[in-house]
Amino acid sequence: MTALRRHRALDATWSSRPGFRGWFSTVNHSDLGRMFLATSFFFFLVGGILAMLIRAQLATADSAFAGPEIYSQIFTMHGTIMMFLFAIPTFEGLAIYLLPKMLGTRDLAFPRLTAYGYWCYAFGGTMLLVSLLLGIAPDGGWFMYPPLTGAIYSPGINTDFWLIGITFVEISAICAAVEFTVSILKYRAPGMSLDKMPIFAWYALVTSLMILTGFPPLILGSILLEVERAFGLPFFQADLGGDSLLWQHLFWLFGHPEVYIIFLPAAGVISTILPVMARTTLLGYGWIVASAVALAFLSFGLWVHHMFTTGIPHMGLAFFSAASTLVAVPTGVQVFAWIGTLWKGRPELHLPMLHLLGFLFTFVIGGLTGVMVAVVPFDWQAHDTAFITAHLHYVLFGGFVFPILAGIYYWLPLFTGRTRFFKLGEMAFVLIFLGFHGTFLAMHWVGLMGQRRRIDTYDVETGWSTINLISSVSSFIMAIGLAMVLVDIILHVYVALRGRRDPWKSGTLEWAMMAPPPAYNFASLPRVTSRAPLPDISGLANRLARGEGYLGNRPAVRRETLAVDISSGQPDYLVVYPGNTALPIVFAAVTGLFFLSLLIKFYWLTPLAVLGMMVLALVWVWRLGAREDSGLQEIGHGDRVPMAGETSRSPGWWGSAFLLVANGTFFGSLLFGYAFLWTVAPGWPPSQWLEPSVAETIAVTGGALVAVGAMRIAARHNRRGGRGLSSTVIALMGTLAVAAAIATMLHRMPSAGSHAYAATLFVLGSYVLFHAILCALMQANLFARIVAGYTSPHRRAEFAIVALWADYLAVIAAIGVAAAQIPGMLA
Amino acid sequence: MPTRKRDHCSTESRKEDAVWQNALLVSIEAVAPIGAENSKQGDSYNRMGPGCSAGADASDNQKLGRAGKCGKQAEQETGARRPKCGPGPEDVTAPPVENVRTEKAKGQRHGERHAHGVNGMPQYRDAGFRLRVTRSCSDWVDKLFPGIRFAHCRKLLILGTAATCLTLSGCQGEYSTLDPAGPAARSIATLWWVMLIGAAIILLLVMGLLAAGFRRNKKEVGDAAHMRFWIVGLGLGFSMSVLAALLAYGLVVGERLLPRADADVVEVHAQAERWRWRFSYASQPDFETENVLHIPAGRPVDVHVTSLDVVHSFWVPRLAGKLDAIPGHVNRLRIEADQPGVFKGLTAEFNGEGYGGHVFDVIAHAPDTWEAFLREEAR
Amino acid sequence: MRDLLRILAPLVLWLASFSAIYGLHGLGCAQGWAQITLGPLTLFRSMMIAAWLFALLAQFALLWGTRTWPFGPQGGFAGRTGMLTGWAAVVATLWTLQPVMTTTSCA
Repeated sequence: MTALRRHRALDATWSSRPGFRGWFSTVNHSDLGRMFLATSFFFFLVGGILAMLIRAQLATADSAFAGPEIYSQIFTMHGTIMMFLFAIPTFEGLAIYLLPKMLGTRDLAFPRLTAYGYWCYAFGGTMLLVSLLLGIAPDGGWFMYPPLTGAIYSPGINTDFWLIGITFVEISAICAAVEFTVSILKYRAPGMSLDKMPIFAWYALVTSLMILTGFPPLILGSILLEVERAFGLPFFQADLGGDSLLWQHLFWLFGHPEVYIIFLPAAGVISTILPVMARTTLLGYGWIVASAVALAFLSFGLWVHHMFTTGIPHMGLAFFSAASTLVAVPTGVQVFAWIGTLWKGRPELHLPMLHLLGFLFTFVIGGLTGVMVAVVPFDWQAHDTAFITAHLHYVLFGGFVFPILAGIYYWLPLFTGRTRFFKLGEMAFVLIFLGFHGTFLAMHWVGLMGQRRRIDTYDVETGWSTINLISSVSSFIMAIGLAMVLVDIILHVYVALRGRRDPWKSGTLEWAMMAPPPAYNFASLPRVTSRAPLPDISGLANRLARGEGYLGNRPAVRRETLAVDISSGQPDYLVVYPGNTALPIVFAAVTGLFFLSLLIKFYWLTPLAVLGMMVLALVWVWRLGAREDSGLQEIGHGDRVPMAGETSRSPGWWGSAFLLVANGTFFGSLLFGYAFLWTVAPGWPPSQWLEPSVAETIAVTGGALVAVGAMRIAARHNRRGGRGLSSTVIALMGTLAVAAAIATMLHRMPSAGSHAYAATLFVLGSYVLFHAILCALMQANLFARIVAGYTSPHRRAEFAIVALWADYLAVIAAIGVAAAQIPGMLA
Repeated sequence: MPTRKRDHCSTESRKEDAVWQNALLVSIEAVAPIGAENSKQGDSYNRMGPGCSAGADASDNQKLGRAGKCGKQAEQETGARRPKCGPGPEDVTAPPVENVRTEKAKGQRHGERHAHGVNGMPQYRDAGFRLRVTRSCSDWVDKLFPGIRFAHCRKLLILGTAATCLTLSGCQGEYSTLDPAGPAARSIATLWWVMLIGAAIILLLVMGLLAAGFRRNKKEVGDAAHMRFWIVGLGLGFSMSVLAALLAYGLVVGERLLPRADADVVEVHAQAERWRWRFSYASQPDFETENVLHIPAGRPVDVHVTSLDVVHSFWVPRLAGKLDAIPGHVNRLRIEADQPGVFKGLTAEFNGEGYGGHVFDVIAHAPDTWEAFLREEAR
Repeated sequence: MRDLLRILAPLVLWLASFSAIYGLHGLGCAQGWAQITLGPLTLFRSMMIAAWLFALLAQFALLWGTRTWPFGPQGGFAGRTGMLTGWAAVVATLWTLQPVMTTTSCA
């Protein structure tokens, strides 16, 4: 088969439907990556316009441009949009687009999940936009501190838009994170062991693990606050045993890792581009991996540095001050490694390099001011002033926007297959760079002069006018620069000349394909032997297109790719992807309906939406799998591997495992909240504990253990040629016993609105109940799958997945029931 | 850090030595005894620098007074001339409520100092702004480069700092953290200047290294040597030593600013509400003020901060850092004003529509009139 | 997965001990352990120091443990990177938790 015929055959199998209708049913990562990026840049534009409004307001003293009500909405939405609807989705979009290409595979692990994540993001973002257009946008500041955002002081729907809309959007972040983790660990070109992964993949892996553990506390916080607002459960009300500090802990438990979640992918872009621009290899690959990992972990030990002024004892502050200074070390290692890379090579000043230099200058300043605010006494003065605003923009604009612009200009030839023609980019860079520093450098000073962040206006006598005017004028210069980038990119996409492949002479695999890339990426998969396969294997791109790599021998009738062993990168099994489907957008729409019903308080609609989601989820999983054994498959080069469904560690198992990591963090945060309220909140102990019940305790732990054991037996039966039907039914019974006992407990506990104790207990119980029901559904589904003939001694993957969830249920049920019953026993 | 000048006005300085010169576990453990022991040590060196209130020109035989009696009284006793750094807080020698009183400050050389009580609220008046900017900047140079005696270097430094200060409309201001009028704000301001200079040097260093990366005639060295220099040397060694020093400095300053037990402490209560502050006074339970907090100058004051509704933050930038007012919690903040005067207070946590205008005043009374004032008001 | 765990484990342990000791600090202050003297120290401080030393011990144990079972022999990319993160975790434990010795308890 010639390369062209191979291309046509693969293209027919892999491409989305033609025209705009294809957008709604595509599950292809290149399509969705582009959609993510386009949407996130649209939100960048919206957030940028809001920023200009802020600067217009503050340009002069005694401004009458916007009243405080509108101004609060503007700055709240500016922060919210930039953080949740621009920065994170931009990383997601870039990684969705690039990761499979860099890793030498054909798509991400769960294509339908990619699409579902995108639509959740699009619908959730639209929700927030609508609130902005209607003038009922959130107005409590982007970190939404209660009690200000509680029902008493913010009775309107504004806050609900934030809590519900952001939770909706975060589903997409969690989906993407699960997907990236599994893709990076399992979906790589054969031979690509962990140490041969492109450095961007390491950063994306670390970032994804951070999203999995960083976002759940915020999701929990949002749920608690929304439940308090809607149903009066007092989590944050001091007079009923709640504590507004709990929100601050949960929010910053997310909020600080968030900053590094934004920075690390950008650092990955830098580590990828910088060596190419310097015509050399990255200095200290292993050190950089270690420091990215260290940075990720340390960033989880910093959250209290946003709370230095809340009256926490000095020793507590000192832990976090120490951690906040220490986090600068891995950052410093990376910065010096980058500069060392430049020393090692012969740097050339292409446009991406200009942005990287802009990054280095800006980010070093941001890092230095970051170390300053890590020092507790200085933060007591600087906290909540314009100094912090300036610092965070140095870190986020410097640490994210500059690298992303570098990345866009670097990968634009890949995106479009065109060569740069218009030279607007250099001029734009100068404007952005000067505008940025003009806006924010002096803002440090005005903060030290006492200008608080978020004030809507100030007097002339304060002496802040000149600096604010300089800031505002510069910010408009920066905006013009960014607009020029936009024009430059649009012109490039539509009218620039066709370019050649790999214009930068780069070494990573994304350049070993046609540009723009075909839907299937690689006609055959390469065998990787180094970190820079492209220069090391001569004519690699053409050889892959001719089908000389793995899977070159397979007929192009299904969407197939290879999964590899995590450490060594040896082929593990063959994966068949689902084709184009509208299921993700429909599922996302029903999910949206669920959130909408909560938002506008149409509670009759909520159970219907839940039912809809349940049905769709069943359709989702039912479509996978096969009714016949396939046996070992030829993948070329004399290798034979089984199908994914005929292993016990299928992609679905890995996906479940990492989703459970996020889920476990959520549960852990809930337990933290329980313990925190207990030790710190005023108004404890509550007047009434839950009466301990031995029967419930036994039913919950016993039922969970039965389910765990029965699932294991079912899997063993299945392996030995039986069907495992009866054991599955026993497991289901055990799970239902857990559900029933927890439901009884919820029914007889003290009224959830009476005290934060009862409210937390209610959430804890509901969480376990939800998982018991979910687990029961999975077991019922497995039963139906066995009956329908989807399992066999070879096709055993589904048993392992259900068993994993049953194990998780047992753990949370045991902990949950202990947390609920023991206090009553002790009292 | 300069150690040649004495600052006997700062109460905070009395505590630091015992705690930090023998920063042994045991001594830290015994917080209360240290406080008691310290209150006997009337004078000690202030390692944080002389600050604006310390007599840069003060004669060496200056009589060292108790903290509570420093400031104006000390000046009167010694006749020392004090260069001003701050925009001279007015001397409020008597309750400014309902009467207009102007008092010429004695022994001070510039500017008219007024305490206007218009509608019961004393107004702040700024005078001799430019003069003070330059002077304050030279004062900062003194503080930061104590060893520099050569006229040229000094001039250059003063000019440089002054240029920075002036182009950025100075460090002065009613809300400026860099125009400290109390020991806490002053040690934090010093901390800032030290960090600023350190940061500037590091930035220059890193940018210099970056620029040097673009040289064309570089020596060829192996990856291992590069790694030793960049990652182990600079990334780990350099960063960690700088950060360790800064962390230690920050923790020392933080420890010194804690509200420790002290017989001299005045206790007041601040209760925030959207959008006003209510202040009450432990020694005069019936006395309550709204949006104006009265304190004695030269004595440590513990403000017990809480909130009735949402989260607020109590902040008097010229006196000390901020502390949040959180419903259900009472937080304690130590503030102190060197001199009598009026200081602007701000609420520093967004709390809704009235946030911008949610401010208050702190009036520091001369120590000898404080008790009388409280008695008068309570009646 | 084992390779990945080898790289992540030391810092997971650091994060766990850091959070636990911060939690212990909150609990101790709430329970008034700082008022109970225990020889030259208070109960609070002895608990904190004991927890710190335990965390350090655990780090060294892990550092030693990753050389052998169940992680396999030293060397290779994961081994070297795991060594780096292992030492990073030791430094982090020393650095971020030293305030148990140097700062005031509950004020």
